[in-house]
Amino acid sequence: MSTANDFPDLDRVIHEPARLAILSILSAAEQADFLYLLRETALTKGNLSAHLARLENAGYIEIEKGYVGKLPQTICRMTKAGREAFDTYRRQLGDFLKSL
Amino acid sequence: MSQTTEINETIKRTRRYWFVDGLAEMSVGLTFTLLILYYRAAEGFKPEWLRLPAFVIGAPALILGSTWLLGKAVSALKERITYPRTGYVSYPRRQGSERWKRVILSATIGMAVGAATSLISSSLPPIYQQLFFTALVACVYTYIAYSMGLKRFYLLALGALVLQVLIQLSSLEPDMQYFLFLIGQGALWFLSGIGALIAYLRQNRVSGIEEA
Repeated sequence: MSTANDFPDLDRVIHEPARLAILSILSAAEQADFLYLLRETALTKGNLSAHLARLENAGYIEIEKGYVGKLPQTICRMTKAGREAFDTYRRQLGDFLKSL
Repeated sequence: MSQTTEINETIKRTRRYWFVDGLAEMSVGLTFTLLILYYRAAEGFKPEWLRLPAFVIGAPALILGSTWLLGKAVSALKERITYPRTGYVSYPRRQGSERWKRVILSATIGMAVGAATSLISSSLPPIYQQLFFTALVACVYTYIAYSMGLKRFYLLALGALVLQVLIQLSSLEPDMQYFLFLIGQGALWFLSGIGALIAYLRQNRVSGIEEA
């Protein structure tokens, strides 16, 4: 039986459903824009922006703001540190779930 | 659903976003149809010595040229149709030697499957050769449907089987039957892409979302 001591020390930046969804998407893509992330995560604009800022502050994603014609576009991509952290998170989670 | 399953499903969904609008399928269908028509035409080239370079040089050139051109067209169409509606995603490209390893591996697998198919089916009567080939094609479509979660490819698999049955009911020569079956695959991919595009446009309007 697992004890509190066996619970993995999961990265709390990643271990939040919205941010986990964002990083899952960005792990499969080179980059994705705000609109795609908004639709896929079903978050509100403000909520998504807040989570993206959190991930950017942690160094896990880069955010690039530009324009397509006259429309603003925000592009997000995972950093190398973000990929390593996400891979580590997945491994720790997988190991923990197998141990149950 | 466990978190690992959710993560895997999200990754799978992101990967198949490239196919959401059917444009890539239409491109594959067009390329394949052009290639089959080219092969058919090249078989009749005169003088006969032209046929070998037509197959060895012309066919790969056609594949590369149409892939490049249609790739550009798909990207341009996505910028106008897809990205304003449901967002922009780009995918990592394999670079340098990784890319060539993949190309060589794909070509090797293709040749091995082709050789195995010829070996197994050569001892069969023509009708069973065609049915064997059709079953192989249907398996490939089914594998794509399962591995990528693109359910409409199950319909493509069914379409391939139905097409072969209809062709077998005709009184055409085996050569023409093969030709029609292959052209039919190009048409199936193209029509599948059109169907996906129509459904996509019905479900998704230009977002007009101003980002926060």
